[in-house]
Amino acid sequence: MGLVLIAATATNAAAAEPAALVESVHEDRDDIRFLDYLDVGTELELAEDESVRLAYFVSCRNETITGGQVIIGEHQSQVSNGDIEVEYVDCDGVAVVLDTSQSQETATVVFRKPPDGELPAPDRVIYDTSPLIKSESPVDRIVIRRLDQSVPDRIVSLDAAVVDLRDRDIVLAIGGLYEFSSPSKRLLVKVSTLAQAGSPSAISRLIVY
Amino acid sequence: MTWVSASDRKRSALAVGMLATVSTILFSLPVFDRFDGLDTDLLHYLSVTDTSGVTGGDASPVAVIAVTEATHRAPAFNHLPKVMWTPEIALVQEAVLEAGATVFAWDIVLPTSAAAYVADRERDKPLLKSLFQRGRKEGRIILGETRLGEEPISPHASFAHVAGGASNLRHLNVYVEPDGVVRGVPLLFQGAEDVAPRRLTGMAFEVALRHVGAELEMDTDGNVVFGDSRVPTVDGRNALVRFDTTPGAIPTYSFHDIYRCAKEGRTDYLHDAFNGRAVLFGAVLDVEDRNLTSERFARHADMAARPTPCSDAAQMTPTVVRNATPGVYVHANAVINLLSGSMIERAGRGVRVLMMFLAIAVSAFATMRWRPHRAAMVVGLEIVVIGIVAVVLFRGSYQTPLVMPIVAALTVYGVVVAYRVLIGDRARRQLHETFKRYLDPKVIDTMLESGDVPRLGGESLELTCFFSDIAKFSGISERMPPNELVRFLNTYFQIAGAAIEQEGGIIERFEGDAILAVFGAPIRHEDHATRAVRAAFRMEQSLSQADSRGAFEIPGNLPVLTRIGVNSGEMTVGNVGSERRHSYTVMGDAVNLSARLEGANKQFGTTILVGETTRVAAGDIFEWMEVDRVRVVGRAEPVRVYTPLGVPGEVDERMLRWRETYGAALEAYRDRRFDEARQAFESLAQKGFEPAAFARERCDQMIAASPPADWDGVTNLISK
Repeated sequence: MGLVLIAATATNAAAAEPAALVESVHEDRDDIRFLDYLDVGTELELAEDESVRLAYFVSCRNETITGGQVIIGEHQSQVSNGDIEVEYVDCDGVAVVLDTSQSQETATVVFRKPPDGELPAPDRVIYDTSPLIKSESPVDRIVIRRLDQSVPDRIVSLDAAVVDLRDRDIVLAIGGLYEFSSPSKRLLVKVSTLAQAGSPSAISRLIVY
Repeated sequence: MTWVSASDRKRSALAVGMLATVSTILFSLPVFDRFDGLDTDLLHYLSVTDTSGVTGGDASPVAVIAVTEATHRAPAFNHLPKVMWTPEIALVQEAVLEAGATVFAWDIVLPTSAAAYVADRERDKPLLKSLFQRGRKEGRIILGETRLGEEPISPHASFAHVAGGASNLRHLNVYVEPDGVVRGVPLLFQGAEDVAPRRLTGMAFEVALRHVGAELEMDTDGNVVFGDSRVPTVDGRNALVRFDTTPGAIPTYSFHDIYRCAKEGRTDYLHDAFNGRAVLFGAVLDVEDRNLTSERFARHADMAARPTPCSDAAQMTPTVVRNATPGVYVHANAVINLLSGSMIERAGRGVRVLMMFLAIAVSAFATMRWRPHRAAMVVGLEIVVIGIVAVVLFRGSYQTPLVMPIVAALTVYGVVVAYRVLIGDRARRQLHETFKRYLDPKVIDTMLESGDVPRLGGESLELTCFFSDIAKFSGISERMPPNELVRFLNTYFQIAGAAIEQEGGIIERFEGDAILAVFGAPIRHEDHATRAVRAAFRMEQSLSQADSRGAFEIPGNLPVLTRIGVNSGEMTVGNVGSERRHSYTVMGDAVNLSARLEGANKQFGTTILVGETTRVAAGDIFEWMEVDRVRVVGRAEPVRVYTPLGVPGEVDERMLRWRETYGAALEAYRDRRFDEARQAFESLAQKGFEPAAFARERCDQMIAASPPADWDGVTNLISK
């Protein structure tokens, strides 16, 4: 099993369009997994007998790479010291010629993303980097995921009516947008750009979950 | 045509045929095919059945999971951009397919991924996994794409890629007719390059194929075959959808309800809702994705009669009724149509032309045959029949023309009525104007409808002229002041005129105390002579009865006796007069003779004298007595004159005996045996038989001065 380096290149989520997808990977690897998105510039290192199958979105190119160092490109991988098998697949729809009667109307709805830079509106804004979470019932697992930047998730459990994340050394970034999610609930929390660490005010950092 | 003579009937039939043919050609021109769409919409409306008590389409092979306005308000989705809903969509998709749905088709396009929006590389993964397994591996997911401009709007490349690419990607464009109304779906698109036809199927067709596990089939003519039947199309590619306008016909579930159901593991509900069904995932929203479709007139509220939701929290109130249909129902109805073989087939050119011809021919015939209000009822009935036939056939998904045959029938009705008003009925109105003084308008209509109408310009006809006068009218008029005299005459003419009209005669004019009437025109009566004699009897009887009850109130109780002359023969009739004032007039020698005979009554002591032609024409319907052979003033030819005695069997024996005696005496008179004749006439005169008195006087004259050798036995009447 080779060493894996995942370059966290994205600084702004909206600008980080993934370039490829992992369609097949050895299940023992814990750095990349089946159906992970890969961004341009991501580097992989494969053991000599290790293979990975990548699918590029724009070029509809499927690559099966065995061994070596791999750098994810925009349309294809840059492979060093490894073998690569390439095939192109019919990943787009079929190009059709529409006559007048077919080109005027469509019966569908399109879920487009909001304009670049316009992130979801938060349910709550806090003014401290470590929120105080109040819950009516225990929650085994809350995933705290930053939505405006790609950083590792944080996991907390709510085993008391009020949990202070300051006590668990969890510090959120000033200005960050976070999603607090559990199987039964989701909450978007924005850390104000005016937030400070160690605020004495409980109300300024309270999240009712 | 009833406003012209009967001889024009053939010409009228020809006119109907020509009008129908020309109109059919005109209204069958391809330019009018654009009304087919309106027909489709109206037939949807007219085919709406009673929907009371409808609770949802349990038998529907298709179910819809729709993002609704309530979905946007649901806690799990509120404020969250839809691009971030991928985990929830994945959960629903998995649950529905796990519950036994045959196929999960996307009527929603996700052209972006959550990863491209927020820095969350994990958010899309549940959907990617589902698309990979259920789509690429199992072939049970079809993603939708669309194109209105140059660039298609497709699912994000990651979704399309993992779902299997082009094999599980279908266009959602719909078929729009020239009036901008969505009425169908493309079964097959035209490929920009050479690809397998199966890749070119439209979304609805692909869903139907997957639902039954069928392959694309086409017959030798290039028609799409589904099941064992050819799928009717407009142009070989686009098929017309017959919308099921029954509320709840397509069971529709709100997305947030199914999401919650799946999350709570309500597999029983999901199994009941989706097992064995093709599921379309779309939107039923107030604003987005609504199309004006064939069911625009047959409207009902969104989500009306929907199935019981999985969760009480998902109870929804149906929205207001809208004209536009959520797009997902276009595809859903198309799938159902394909599965049930109920795509609409429009009638071919031959059937259309035939129906058009029938509609026009009926309208033309009725309008030319009957008066406008009656024809309007027939055309109205025709329209109802056209509608009923169209609706019945449409329920079997066969569309026949509706609007254009009705428009054509009404147009032909309007044109013919206009023609009649402006041109054709001019003659009819002229007849009414001419005869309104003589005849009941209904009688004129009857005459017109019989087609046997007089020619107002003049015609020579065999008729009977009837002339009457009041005996001793001078004596009566001298005894009455003017106002009473006028009242008397009005009463007299009322009674006398009624007798004439009851026998079908018309009063040509009143002149002083005289009446000139005609039988046989303008109403054709072959028995005009009989009618005239019968009218004479009737008049006598009516006047006598009126006189008996004192209707005339003549001072001195003078009796009202009328003298009548009747004669038949060829006469000229027609409108005579100036442009402003004219009347239907009868003229001719036979008319003059009737007047002379009326006057001769005074001399012969009779009340009714009939010319020989009338006697011959009437035949033995009456008992007759020959009164004499006379030569009237202004007429060289002598004529036998008769007086009718009554109907055979009703004349008393004494009168018949007198007739015998009179006849024998008349024979002797003509044979110059004047003494013998005089004796016989004298005996009759003494019995009160007045004609015999005048005959006796003639005998006396002959005895006093023997007639010349060339005497012909004719009595010359010297007074008019």
